[in-house]
Amino acid sequence: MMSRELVLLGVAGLVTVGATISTLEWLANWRQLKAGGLFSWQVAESRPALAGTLLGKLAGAFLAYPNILGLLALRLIALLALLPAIASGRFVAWILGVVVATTVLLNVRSPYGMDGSDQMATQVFGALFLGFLPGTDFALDAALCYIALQACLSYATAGLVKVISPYWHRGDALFGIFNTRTFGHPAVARFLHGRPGLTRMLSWGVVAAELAFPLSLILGYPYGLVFLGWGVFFHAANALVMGINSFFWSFVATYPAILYCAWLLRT
Amino acid sequence: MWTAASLALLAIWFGLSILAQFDNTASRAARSRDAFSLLPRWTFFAHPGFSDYHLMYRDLLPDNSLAAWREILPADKRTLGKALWNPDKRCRKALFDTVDLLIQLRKKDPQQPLASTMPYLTILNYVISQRHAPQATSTQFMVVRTGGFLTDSKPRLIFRSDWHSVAR
Repeated sequence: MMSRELVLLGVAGLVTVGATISTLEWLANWRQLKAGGLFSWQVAESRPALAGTLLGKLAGAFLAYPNILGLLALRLIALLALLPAIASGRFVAWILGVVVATTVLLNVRSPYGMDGSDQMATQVFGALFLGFLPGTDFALDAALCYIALQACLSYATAGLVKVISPYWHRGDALFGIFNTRTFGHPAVARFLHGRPGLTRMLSWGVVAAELAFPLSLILGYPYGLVFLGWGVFFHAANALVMGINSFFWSFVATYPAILYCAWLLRT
Repeated sequence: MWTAASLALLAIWFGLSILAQFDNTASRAARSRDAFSLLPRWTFFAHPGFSDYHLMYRDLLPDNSLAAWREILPADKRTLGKALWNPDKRCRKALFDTVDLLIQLRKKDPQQPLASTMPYLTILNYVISQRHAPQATSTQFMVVRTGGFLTDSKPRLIFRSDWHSVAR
């Protein structure tokens, strides 16, 4: 028997940790949000999708500097209030509404610099909002299943595109990535250098694990834990080696939902 | 009724998410209308770059001499702490995205003037806001590609901008 409340707390707790770190990192980059910064709203709002549109004008009220700092502060407060709200069952939809609104506004803020962890956080918070809005058992289960399916879609797609990518066919893609200063690590690059067999095995291992990941939803507890355990290790290693820290929280947040939905499927 | 509405929205959202993974007309149409980035693209590292980009700029001085090239956002050392706290990664990713897009635009149409495109304007705006020589009249940026930690290839010039006035 799995407790829906505990699963919701697990999902929300993990994604909230990641979103809080991400929000604090945005605030640490406050200079880049100014007019001359890398995330200048004056430049971003001139893109064709926003220039002269009502959306551009409305979003500008929140996203222009220094208003963006207020938006980030509001997001931080909402994130800190989310777990106590879920635990007490009060104002959850309202708080999630603020989190979702600030999340999508940040997505509008810059066409550059966003990554997969931002995308997954958008999915998780959006689904939780749609679940808590009616707040019925059925809607909450549907939200958790949405999160589980989205996680399986993400890994399977990532694996599939690597299978058809010529970059991964050669078998040295992992070395190529870890050899860069942008996403790599000199010690790991040195370790893989001159070990083409190991590099090929690790490269194809990543592809195979991503492709097989949806099995976690079919197998559930306990066998599905093999895939979830791989995911935890994979994202922790990526955080350490590649510095992409927020992927860990956004993606591992979906794992309690996967176990829960697998259990729902069985029962 | 709210439950049914939520279920319908989740079903539509997931259906569009599947569509967004493909690279066809319907997918591009859906993504072009997705101002809030609600539709994910899960194609991580399918076409990874095996090299690093370096953004550099230099100033033109009143006597027509050139200041030395300076690098913006040089790669930093990966430390254990960055697995938890890494604010710079978003700036480096933004830089990577803009440079990558510039290169794609150049490949797609070598004749297309890039100076009015979003990635060019993003980089230019950032370069102009950097510290410049006190007497600088204008500035220029370039993107250089290097091969990584263990690759001996020489740095390769990818792109060099026009000269742009430095506002005072």
